[in-house]
Amino acid sequence: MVIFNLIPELIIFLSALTILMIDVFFGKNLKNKNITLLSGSVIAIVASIYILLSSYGINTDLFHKMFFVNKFTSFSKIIILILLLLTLIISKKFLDSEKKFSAEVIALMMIATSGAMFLISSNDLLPFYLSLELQSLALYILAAMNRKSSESSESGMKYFLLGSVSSGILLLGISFIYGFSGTTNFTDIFTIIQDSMNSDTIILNVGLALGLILVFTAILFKISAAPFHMWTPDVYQGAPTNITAFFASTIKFTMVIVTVKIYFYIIHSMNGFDQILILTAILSLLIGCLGALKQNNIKRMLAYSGIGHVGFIIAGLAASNFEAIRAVILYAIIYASISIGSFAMLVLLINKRKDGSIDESNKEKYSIDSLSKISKNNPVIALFLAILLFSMAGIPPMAGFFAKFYILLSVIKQELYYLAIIAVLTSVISAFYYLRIIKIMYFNESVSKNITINKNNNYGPLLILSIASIFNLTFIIFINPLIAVIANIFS
Amino acid sequence: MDNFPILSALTFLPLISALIIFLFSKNANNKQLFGISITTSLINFILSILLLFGFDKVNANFQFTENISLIPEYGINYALGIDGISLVMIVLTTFLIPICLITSMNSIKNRVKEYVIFFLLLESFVIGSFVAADLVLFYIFFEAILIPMFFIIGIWGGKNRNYAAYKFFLYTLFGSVLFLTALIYIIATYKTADIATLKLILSQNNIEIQKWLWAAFFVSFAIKIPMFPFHTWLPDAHVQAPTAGSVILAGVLIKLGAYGFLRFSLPFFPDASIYFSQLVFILSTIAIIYTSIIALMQEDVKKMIAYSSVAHMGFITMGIFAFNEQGLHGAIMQMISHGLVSSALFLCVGVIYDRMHTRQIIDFGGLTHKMPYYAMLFMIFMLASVGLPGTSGFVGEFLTIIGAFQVNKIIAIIAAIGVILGACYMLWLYARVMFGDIKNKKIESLKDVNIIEFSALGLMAFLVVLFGIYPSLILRYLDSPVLAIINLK
Repeated sequence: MVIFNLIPELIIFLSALTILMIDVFFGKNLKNKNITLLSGSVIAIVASIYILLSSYGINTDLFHKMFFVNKFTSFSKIIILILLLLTLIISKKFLDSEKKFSAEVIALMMIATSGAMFLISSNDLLPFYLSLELQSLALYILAAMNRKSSESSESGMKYFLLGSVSSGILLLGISFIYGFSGTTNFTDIFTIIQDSMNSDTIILNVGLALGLILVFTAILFKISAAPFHMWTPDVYQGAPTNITAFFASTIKFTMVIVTVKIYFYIIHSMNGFDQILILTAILSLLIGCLGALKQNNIKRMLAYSGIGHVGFIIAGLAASNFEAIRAVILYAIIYASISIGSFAMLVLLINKRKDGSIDESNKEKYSIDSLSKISKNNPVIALFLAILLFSMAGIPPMAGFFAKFYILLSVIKQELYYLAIIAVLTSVISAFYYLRIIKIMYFNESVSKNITINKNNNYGPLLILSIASIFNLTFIIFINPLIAVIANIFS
Repeated sequence: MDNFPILSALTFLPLISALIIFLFSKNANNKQLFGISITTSLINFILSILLLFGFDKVNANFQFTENISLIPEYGINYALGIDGISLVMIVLTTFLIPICLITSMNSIKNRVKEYVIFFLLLESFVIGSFVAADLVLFYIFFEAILIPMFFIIGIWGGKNRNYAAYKFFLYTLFGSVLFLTALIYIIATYKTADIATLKLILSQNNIEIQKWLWAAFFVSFAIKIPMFPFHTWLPDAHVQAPTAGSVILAGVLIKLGAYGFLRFSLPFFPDASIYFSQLVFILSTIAIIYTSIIALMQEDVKKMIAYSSVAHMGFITMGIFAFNEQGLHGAIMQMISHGLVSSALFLCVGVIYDRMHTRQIIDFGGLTHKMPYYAMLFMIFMLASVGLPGTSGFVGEFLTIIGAFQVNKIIAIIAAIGVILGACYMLWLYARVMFGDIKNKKIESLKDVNIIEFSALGLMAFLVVLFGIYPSLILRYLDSPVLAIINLK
């Protein structure tokens, strides 16, 4: 059966619908509703991962080559599902505070993930567009999920409006491509471009080139690369923290994989396209590191730092050799692990008013100064966050160093020396604001007394934080097997 | 015993001890914490002494080698090995760390657990960078040193510690990333990071490639040393760091830059090193003269010694890039000597700072009346810093100037004048702090050095004099590696 190869996606999608149904029919009677629903979703994810693992290595296409299943897609899907699992684990507290709509949050996250999985497998512009929308629509709602906060609504609205524009651009690009090449299939488009590049007489059709650029622009928007990054800080700041973690890990990883795929499966052979990538990479690196310097909100700062990391990823793409693909995927995995760890730490923060009640608004809670007491009261948590921050800054022996190392290796191999120099210099500047958080955690006296870490019954985020930081600290052990697995997915 | 991985043990023993302290010392008091860490560092010192006995002085290759493949694709290994130069630096490190910890017992009262952990981490990383026989491994340790040092300055530092910690970190990181870029170029091109192999390949390169790579390496090590004009982070870092932090910074960390020149710049890029040697000479003499003049005008004892460090490091870089036997011998001798002398001077400043909580020269005067032993020890280090014959300082400065004289006479003469300037500010400092009448009433109630301080400083003074009278104790370890470097010329 052809459909058999889509079972992992279908499991996620159908269990999302099942969760909604359970909530509708039995929601009021369930005692521990969130626990039940969460464990249901965890079982679905684990089952899906199991099926992906057991069918790992199958190389096939479905629905007239609209979908592709190979090692590359299976590997990416496994990582995405693991990241979803981690995000769900840190979401429990948010679900508890959001009693009425908790099932919807879980379901939307799973639907977005299934969209991401379809997206990775798609080998045709139409399913590509449809699954991107499936993912995005769920994300628009998730960004606005914290209904008590106006910032959250703002971020959802902003994301929706800008996201629609980018979808429009994507559709325009697709119609250009279809109009000038007569096909929407990735493989066919790739052949057309390659033929026109190889022959001397035929130049690449301007319409087709424009279409490709428009499609890529839409992807750059989704991956939040400069100059299409405007939505990122606002959405990161406004969305509930666990949802931001979802954006920064699962969705970011998906979009990196999609970018790799679109670039290497379609655009790769188009002459001169790497200039666009280099420009975007430099802009992202600069905007990421300079934008984050003045931020006082941690989530906003992490958003800008994320833009800088995307700059590194795109610099790797610009190098466009085999090492580069590997480096980019490695970077995306490491960045996702750092993001999920640091957002797990932010989930732990709570803002207690003087009378003991808890202030749910985000404003004070995520100001950088709120971390000032942590190293004294919670030395272990402070240490874990410090490891993650050093990793982001790319200080060896943390994982972030190896991520940057591999990217620079491929960039220098391609003789793009100026790009490598800009990348390392921006990473020095960016070290400044990671150090700033560490400074506040370790050197400063406490400023705000209200904000503390809530460790009671909150083991999920603690677990994720410790796993992420130990992974980052001891990465030198994993590097060889991981690189081998990543290299293997293209065989 | 032959197969015992002694270099790994040296590197990771402090790390493991730090981990144990972190995990299992919830209720330990300060004394126990210091006890564990001092024991660890003493065991490490004994291990490094064992190295001295097992070491083959004639062999110029890496010894005690260990090799585990890390990233086979690019020839990156966990490769350890030492030659004479790294051996003496390791012994210096393992000697200074226990002294740092012992002398901090009185001055550090808050967050002792973190303090000893960061010091042990620091020791581990420093030794790691000295034993690394692999370029990437060296870089990893070299860079990782920033983390504990950043915390040591930032947590236990003086008033302006945030600024100093940042400046230290970002300045050094800036240099390191250029080093990283050059390093990645080398790995991408030659697919190996093994230092011994790279030495053979890279020194055959044409001068154009050598120049670029040399420049990238140079910026990194010049910042670390620090050379003029990259020296501005050092006075800030020294003044703000706690005493033990200054000791380790002056004693070992800034030597890493010189070690980098010896280990990488000269053997990898001999042609470029000769090509740029005039530039280095000029920068070194500027450092010697200019920072000596600045040191004359300092009001703060610690800042003055910090500036004098920059001047002394100027002799080291001058000796290294003279690229002959005397110059290199002198440079390494000066590294050891300066490692002992400036550390001891910072410890001396720490002694009076703990008692008076000031470092302004103007607050002192007439200390000899109240602290005779202290004045005597300080004098030995002061004279060694000036380069009095009979102290280790003389051997280093003398040899580097001889080395430089063979290459460029004018530079050597100017550097020799710098020695006189050094005498000026050190003697003047000594006169103002130690002699004269007691003006500050606090001094009346001062107590002389206690037994711990006396034995630490006395031991260092003994070594300073011993190496001054019998320098071949160190120099005999350096003959074969120095010759190996010169043969590449």
